[in-house]
Amino acid sequence: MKKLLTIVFLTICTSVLAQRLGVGITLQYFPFKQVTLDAADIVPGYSYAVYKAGNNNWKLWSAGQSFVVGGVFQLNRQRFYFTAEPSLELNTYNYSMTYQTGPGVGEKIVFQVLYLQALCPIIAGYQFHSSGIFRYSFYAGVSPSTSFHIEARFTQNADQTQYDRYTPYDMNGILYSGKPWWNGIAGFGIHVASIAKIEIRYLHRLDSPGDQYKATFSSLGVGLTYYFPIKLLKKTIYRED
Amino acid sequence: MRIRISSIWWLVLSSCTIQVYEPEKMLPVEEYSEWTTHATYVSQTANSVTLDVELILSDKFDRNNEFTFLGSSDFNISGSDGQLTISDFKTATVANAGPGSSVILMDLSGDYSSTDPYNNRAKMFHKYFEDHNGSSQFLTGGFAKRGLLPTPVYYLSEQFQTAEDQILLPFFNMSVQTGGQNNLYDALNSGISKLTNTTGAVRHLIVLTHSNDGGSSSAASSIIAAAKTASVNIDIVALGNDLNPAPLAAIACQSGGLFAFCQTGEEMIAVTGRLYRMLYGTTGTCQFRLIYKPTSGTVASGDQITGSINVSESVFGKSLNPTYFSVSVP
Repeated sequence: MKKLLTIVFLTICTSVLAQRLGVGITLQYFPFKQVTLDAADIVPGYSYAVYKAGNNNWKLWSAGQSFVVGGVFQLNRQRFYFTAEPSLELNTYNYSMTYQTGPGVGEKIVFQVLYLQALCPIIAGYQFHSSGIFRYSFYAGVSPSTSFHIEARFTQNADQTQYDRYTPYDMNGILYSGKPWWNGIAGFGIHVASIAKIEIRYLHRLDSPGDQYKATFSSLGVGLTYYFPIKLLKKTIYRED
Repeated sequence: MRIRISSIWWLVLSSCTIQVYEPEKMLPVEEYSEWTTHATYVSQTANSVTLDVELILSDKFDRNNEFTFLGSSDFNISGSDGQLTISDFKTATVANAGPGSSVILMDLSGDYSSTDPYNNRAKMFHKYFEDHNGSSQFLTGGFAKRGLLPTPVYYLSEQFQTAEDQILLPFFNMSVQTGGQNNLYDALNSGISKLTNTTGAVRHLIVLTHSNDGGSSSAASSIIAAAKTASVNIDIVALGNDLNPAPLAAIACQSGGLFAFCQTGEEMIAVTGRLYRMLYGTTGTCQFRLIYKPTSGTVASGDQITGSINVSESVFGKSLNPTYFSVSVP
């Protein structure tokens, strides 16, 4: 029995090690964001204010941005590849609400949450086409994320007197919380030989920061991965000669 | 001894003159403040009177409202036409009159652009609803004549509530439906009717208003009489400089209620933020037994003893408002 297990183990290892192991770095930028709240009126647990929500559309920059820098460890096997990307992310989310002050009028408040977070996307991709030095793939995966710094504030161009009337911490447990979370990931990649990958990536937070209201967070951006030119058990893989 | 003939006092503050009616019933509007809740006659001799006075400090100083660090030497006490000395002092936690019923009415006439442009009033009544915490029942509404909502009072529910859940969002929506004229007196009549025959030890009709009555069919005298008959205390928070506080103070004080004249939104926040504690809450108090000795003469039945108490500035590092009391010798 021991011999059998050893043989199976070595067979798996050999088959994996026989493929390409790519190591590199990745830079990603997400300028498109969407934040949604599932209620029209928000009554924060830490505030006496009641906010009107509903500004749930996708936005370019105004709903926040994020920057990711991380390492890439990628195993290739035929048309498939598996990637782990331990990364750091500077992530901001903006969400605007209104506090009613008169008939049909209100004061706009833009809550901003800034995260410094660590994440490790684990994705599986399938290269469905190749052309010259390019290969094209779709991929999907998940990413555990945890924040090591959270800052709640109003957007920098907001009226500074708003701090007298509201507190950005009103959104604690609604737009942010300190607990770790999971993101779902999907994307499209263009592989340039064994040097780089250019990708369009979509992230969607899989759980809500709080229980009172369901909040969703989605991001759309681009990424560039550079693979170091090192020989790590290189073997020809799908259409790469 | 000074016999107070008129119950109207004039206080001259540094920046403005405010007409004050029965100062012991005036709610201080400062965030850091003190006020007298009870002043009672105990006994008398030929040339002295013993009084009990109870004082509350705003919880800005002590979240637990205990104030056990205070001693009698921390207070300055002065009497009109006589000398007041402290014979006993203690801090104690006391319960107010217990659960009761309240009707909360908001003036929706005109607009609040000059008095509360950021609608802090809705937030502060939200706090009041939360402070209730199910112990007392309340009914909420707004009033205006020829405004955006039905007259004389638009109530958010038919029945009294014990939790804010059902009325909170309608209340915020209502608070901005401003327009029309002030019909305060008609609204007070309506509120008294709602409170008549309600259960509980205390009945409070709480009103926030920011303008003078603009043509109610009811008269102030009939409102006071109706309030006394129904044992309803009318507590009025007057906001801004566009109103005459004297008739409002008269209604509040003669009905047994409290009156606060808030000239700014910040003062309104300070007052409404502690309103529940004032009316229903269990709170820490400073209790004094005072001996009053007139400057000359003897004590006679019907004499009015008035005085003021002030925490020494050195205690909290800031000057607090003096709080007043008045006791009649039987």
